[in-house]
Amino acid sequence: MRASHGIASLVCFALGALAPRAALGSACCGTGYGIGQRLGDTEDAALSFGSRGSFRFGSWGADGSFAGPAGDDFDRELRAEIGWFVRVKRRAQLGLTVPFIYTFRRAGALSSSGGGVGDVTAGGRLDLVDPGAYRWFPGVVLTLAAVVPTGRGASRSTDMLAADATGLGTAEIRPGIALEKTWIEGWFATAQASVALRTPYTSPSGLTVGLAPRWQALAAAGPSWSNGFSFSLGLLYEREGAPSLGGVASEGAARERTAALAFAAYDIDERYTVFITSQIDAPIGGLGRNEGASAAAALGLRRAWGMHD
Amino acid sequence: MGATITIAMTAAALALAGCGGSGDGEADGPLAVSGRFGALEFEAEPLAPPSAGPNALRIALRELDSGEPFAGASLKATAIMPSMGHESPTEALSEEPEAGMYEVTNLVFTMAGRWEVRCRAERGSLVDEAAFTYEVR
Repeated sequence: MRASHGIASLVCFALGALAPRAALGSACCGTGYGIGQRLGDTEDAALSFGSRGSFRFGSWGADGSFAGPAGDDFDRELRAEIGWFVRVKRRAQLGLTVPFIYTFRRAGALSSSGGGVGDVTAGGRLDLVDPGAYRWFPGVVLTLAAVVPTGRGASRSTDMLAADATGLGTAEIRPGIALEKTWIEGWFATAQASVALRTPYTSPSGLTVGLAPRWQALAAAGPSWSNGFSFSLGLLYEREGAPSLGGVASEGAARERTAALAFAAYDIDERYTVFITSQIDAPIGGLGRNEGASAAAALGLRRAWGMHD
Repeated sequence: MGATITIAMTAAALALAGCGGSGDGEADGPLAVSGRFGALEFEAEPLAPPSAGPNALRIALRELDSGEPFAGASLKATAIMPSMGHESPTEALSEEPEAGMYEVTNLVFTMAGRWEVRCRAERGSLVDEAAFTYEVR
């Protein structure tokens, strides 16, 4: 019996947390990895695999104006992620995600490519209120993600265009909160907020860099059907203050971006769910600052273990 | 879309305290600023419109007191992207084709955005620093 409403829509919930991967150059300068996936009520564990391709189509300047890429420049990324999620208590879940990243980059007369293992993310969630417990009150979830700098930060890059950068270059903790609501009629919605806190690091030249906290807000909603298909649309907004360089905050260096998200998932059966995600930064002046703008699409498969096993 | 240039003098970006004449402005072409320690004047001019990829600057150093060219210095330039908090992975090269005039090459901006080029000149016991900002689109 195919899981109705549940799993595919839950994947859409969860992908709202995974999808906000920053624009290209994200491996080096990125936003953190969201708040982790989630398991359905009847699931005890899940293994997921996803592949993602993205490309940069412009950038926002320090004044918020948007411009396309110059000449033949390009910035493209391929990413594969493996995730493992397990229920440790009825209301508590833990997960681990390992990414593999490869970047193709061209800037002026230079072109290069490189990649490797990215930053590993460990995440957890604690359900304070179940999404379907009350008719008019949403589920409330506390989340926490920790990014381990297992990838190569841009400051340790040996490539002339930093194409071999695969990580943020520093550790990150991301606490957050999510509101989740499902309706019997087959609709679901989520609103999530989190903040990424990073440890300082020292550049090869000896400069101490302290990245500012990065705030993230996401909202998504959509329908699900009894045939196992779910779909949602969402919006993402991120803002990060200016980093401190040598103890001094740089003027005009704060970052922000706005993106539109779309998710679709289909429960093949009780165990397998296939999902597709897409994300595009809004190429509108004023909706970003000091960020690259990119478009991305991902395809993945999820295998769950639970009551049906 | 071609690269556009906004050049701003940002001597203050080097955590200055009471430095000599830091200026703010926008200009195409040479831009001069007093060094952080008040010993030298740095005048920087891109050899081509700054863009993503390799870039080159011509930097003239002059003694602030006398206005004389400051020759024979070791000039080091580092490019950093302030919003991202990371430096260019390549090491810039510096040569002095004529007295007090230095050419910095292999200055790689790895992506579009605002970049800050931090310059440090040293000769004997005299050291001074300055920074120039470029908006690469």
